[in-house]
Amino acid sequence: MPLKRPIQSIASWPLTDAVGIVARKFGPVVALTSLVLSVANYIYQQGMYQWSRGIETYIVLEQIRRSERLPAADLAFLGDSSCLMGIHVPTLLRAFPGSGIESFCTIGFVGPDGYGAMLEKMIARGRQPSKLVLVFNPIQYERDLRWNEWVNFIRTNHFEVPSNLTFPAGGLEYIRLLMERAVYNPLPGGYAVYYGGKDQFISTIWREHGSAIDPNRMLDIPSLEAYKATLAGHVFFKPDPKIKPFVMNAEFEKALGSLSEMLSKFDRSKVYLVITPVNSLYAQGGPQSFHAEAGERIAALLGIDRSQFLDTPDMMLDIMYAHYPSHLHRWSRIIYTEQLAKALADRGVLGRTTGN
Amino acid sequence: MSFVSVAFLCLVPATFLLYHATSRLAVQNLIILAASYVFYAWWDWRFLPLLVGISIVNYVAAILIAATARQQVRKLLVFVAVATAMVVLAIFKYFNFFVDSFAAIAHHAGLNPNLPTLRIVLPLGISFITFQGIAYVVDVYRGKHVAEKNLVKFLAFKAFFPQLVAGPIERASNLLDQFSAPRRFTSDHADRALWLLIYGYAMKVVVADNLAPIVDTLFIPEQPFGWSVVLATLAFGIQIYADFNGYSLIAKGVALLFGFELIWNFRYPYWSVSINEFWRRWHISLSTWLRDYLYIPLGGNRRGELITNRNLLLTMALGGLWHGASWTFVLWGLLHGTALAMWRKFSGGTAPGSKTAGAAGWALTMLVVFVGWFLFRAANWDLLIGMLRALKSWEWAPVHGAVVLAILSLTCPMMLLEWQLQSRGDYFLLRWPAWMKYPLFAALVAVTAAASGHVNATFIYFQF
Repeated sequence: MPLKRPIQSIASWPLTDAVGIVARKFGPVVALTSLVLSVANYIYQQGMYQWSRGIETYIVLEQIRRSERLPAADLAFLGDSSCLMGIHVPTLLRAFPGSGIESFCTIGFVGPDGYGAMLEKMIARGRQPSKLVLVFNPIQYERDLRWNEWVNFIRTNHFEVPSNLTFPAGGLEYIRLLMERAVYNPLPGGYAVYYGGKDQFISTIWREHGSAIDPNRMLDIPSLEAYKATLAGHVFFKPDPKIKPFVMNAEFEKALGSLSEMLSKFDRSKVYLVITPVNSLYAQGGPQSFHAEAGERIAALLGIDRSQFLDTPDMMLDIMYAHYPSHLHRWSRIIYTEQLAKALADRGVLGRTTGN
Repeated sequence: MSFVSVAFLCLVPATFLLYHATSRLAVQNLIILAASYVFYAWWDWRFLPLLVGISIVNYVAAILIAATARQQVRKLLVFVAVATAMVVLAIFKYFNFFVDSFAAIAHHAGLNPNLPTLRIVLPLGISFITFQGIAYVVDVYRGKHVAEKNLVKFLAFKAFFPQLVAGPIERASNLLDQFSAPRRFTSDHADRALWLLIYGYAMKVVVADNLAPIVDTLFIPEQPFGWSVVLATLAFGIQIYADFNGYSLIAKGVALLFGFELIWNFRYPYWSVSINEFWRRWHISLSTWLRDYLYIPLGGNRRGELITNRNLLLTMALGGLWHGASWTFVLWGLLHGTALAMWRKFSGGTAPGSKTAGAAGWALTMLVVFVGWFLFRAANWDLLIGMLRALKSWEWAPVHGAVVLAILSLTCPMMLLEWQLQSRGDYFLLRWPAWMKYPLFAALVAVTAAASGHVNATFIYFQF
C-alpha cells in the first residue's frame, strides 16, 4: 500500500491528535448550536419584524394598537407629542369622573394627515370616539415632505414586514428579542433614566390612558406641590430673535386638507381644536400669530367652527418645559391639563360630574 | 486584542494549529511568545517595546540577583527592579492623578500653581504586567524560585496572552515552570477548555455586557432617583463580577488548549459570609499578591493590633489605587481595609458558627462589598456627589421594575449554577451524559452569540 506510510505519518503527527480531540469535543456543540439557530431562524421567519425600533415607532405603534383595542371613548385626543407629553389624561379623568377619555396622540411627524388615517381606522372598526380633540403645537406648522413616510406607515398598515435576515442572523435575532423581554435595552438619554426600556415606556402609555412623560427635566422634583414652590419669581423670557417664527407652510395646509376630508365621516360639531403652548423663548412673532390666528385658520381649513377652538394658554414659562419648545414636563403637564379641563368644562365638552 | 473580537477568534485557532504541529518545547514556547506579542500589538504596537522592556529588566535583575551572594547588592537589585516597575506605573498611570491632586491641595491653600499634565495613553494591562514582574523578582530574591536563564521561555511567561492584560497575576512557581516541562493536550484538557470557554463567554457577553448599558445609563451625576443608585450599584456588582470572572474563565480555558493550567482567580465570592472570606475568593491572584508582597513585608499581623490595622488599611488603600488613578478607588480600598480590621476585631478571626450567624455575616459582607462597588464605579467626585444627592428621593419609577427584572433574570441562573458548581465540583456538567450536556452547551452558545451582536465588548479590568 503506497499510501500506508503517509497516512501513518499524518496519524502520528501531534497536530492530528490535537485537532481530532477538538473535533470530538467541540464538534457536537457546534452541530447542536447550528440546529438551535436553525430552529430559531425558522420561527423568526414565520413571524414579522417591526418596521423600526426607534422611540417614535414605539409611540405610533402603541397608540394604533390602543385605538384598535380600547372601547370607543367619550372623548379622544389625536395630535402630536406636545399632546402626548403635555395632556395628562388621568388629571382629566379626575376632573370628569365617569367619563371615558383616551389620548391617541403620537408625534408631529405623523401630522394632520396621519391623525386622519388613525381616525379612519377607528371609524372602520366602529371605535370612533363621541367627541374628538385635535391637538397641534406650532412647531408642526412647518411640515417636511419626508415626514409623509409616517402617514404611509399608518395608512398601509406597514408596521411589520417579513424578515430579510437569513440564517444564522435570523435565529440570533429571534433569541435576542426573547432575551429583551427580560433584560431591557436602554432607551436613549433621559428616557433610559426614567423608563429604562421600551416595555416600560409602552406600559406607561397604556397605564396613563395614552399620556407619557418627557423625562428630560424635573425628575428630581418629587411632587406637584414641590414643583409649584419653585415657580415663584419666574417670568416669561423674551423671544430669541435668532429663532424662526412659526409659520404654516403649504405641506402642512395640504395635510390639514386631507384630515378635513376624513372629518367629513365624523360629526364636525363634535371636533375641537387645541393649540398647545410654546416656550416663551420661541414665541417669535407673538402669540397672536402662532396661536389665535393660526388656530382660527386651522379651524377654517378643517371646516369646524371657530368656537370649537378651545381657549388654552399660548405660552408658558421656560421652567415648565422638559425639552424643545413644545414638551411640558411631568408636573407642568398637570398644571396645563387642569387649565384644559376648565376649558372643556366651560365649553360643555364634558360634564364635571357624570360621564358624557 | 479583546477576547470578544473576531481577531481573537482567529488568533486562537491559528496559534493552536501552529503550536500542536510540533512537539518541540522550544518551538512551542516561541509560537506562544509570537502569538502573545501579536495579541498585545493588535491593540497598539507602539507599546510592545514597553512590554519587552519591562520583561527584560525583570529577566536581567533576577539573573543578577541569583548570581550575587552579597545581600546589600541583592537588595539594591530588587530595589532597582521594583522601582523601575513603579516608575513605569507612575508615569503611565498616576502622573496626572498626582499632579491634579497636588494642584487641588495647592488651590485650597490659596496657591495657583501652573502644573503640567501629560496626555498619556494607559498601556493595556500595565498594572498586571508590572505586578507579575515584581512578584517574580522578589520570589527570586527570596529564594522561592530560580532565575530563568532561557530568554524565550521567560518572555513567553511574561507575555502569555491568555493572562497578559487582565491576569490572573500568575506566579513563576505556577506558570513559568510550565514553560519548562512538556505539555500535553488531552481529552480532559479539551473537555475543561470547552466548558470554561462556554461559561466564561456567557458570563461576559450575556451577563456583564447586558448589564453594562443599564449601569452606564444609571450612573450619571444628574441621577434623580435613590432607587436607581441602589439598583445600579447592585447591577454593577454583578456586572464587574461577570465581566472579570468571565475573562478569567476564558483565559483559563484558552490556556488549557495549549496544555497550560492557570490558577482560579475567583471562587464564588458572593457566597462569602465574611469580608475576609470574600478576599480569599475575589481576584485571588491580586489579594494573594498584596498579602505576600505588601502586607507581610509591612509586618502583617505580627506587631500588635494597631500596626496590623495600619497594614490592612495601607495594603487595601494601595490595592484600591492599583485599580485606577482616582481617590474613589482609594476610598474603596480603605472601606475594605476598615471592614477587614473590624472583622479581625469582632470575629476573632473565625468563621461564623451557626446558620443564622452565617446569614448575618453574608448580609453584612455584601453590604460592605456593594457599598464598595458604588465607590468603585463612581470614578470621580462629581459622579459620586451627584449619585449621593439622589438618595434623598425614593420615588419608584418605571425603570426600577425593569432593572429588578434584568438583575433577577441574569442573576438567578448564575446563582443556581454557582450553587451546583460549589457542591458538585467545578466540572460536574462534564460528567453529565452527552444528551444532557451538549444541548445545554449549545443553548448557552446560541444565547451568547445572540447577545454578542449588540453589546459592549470591552473588559472592565483591561483599563487596570
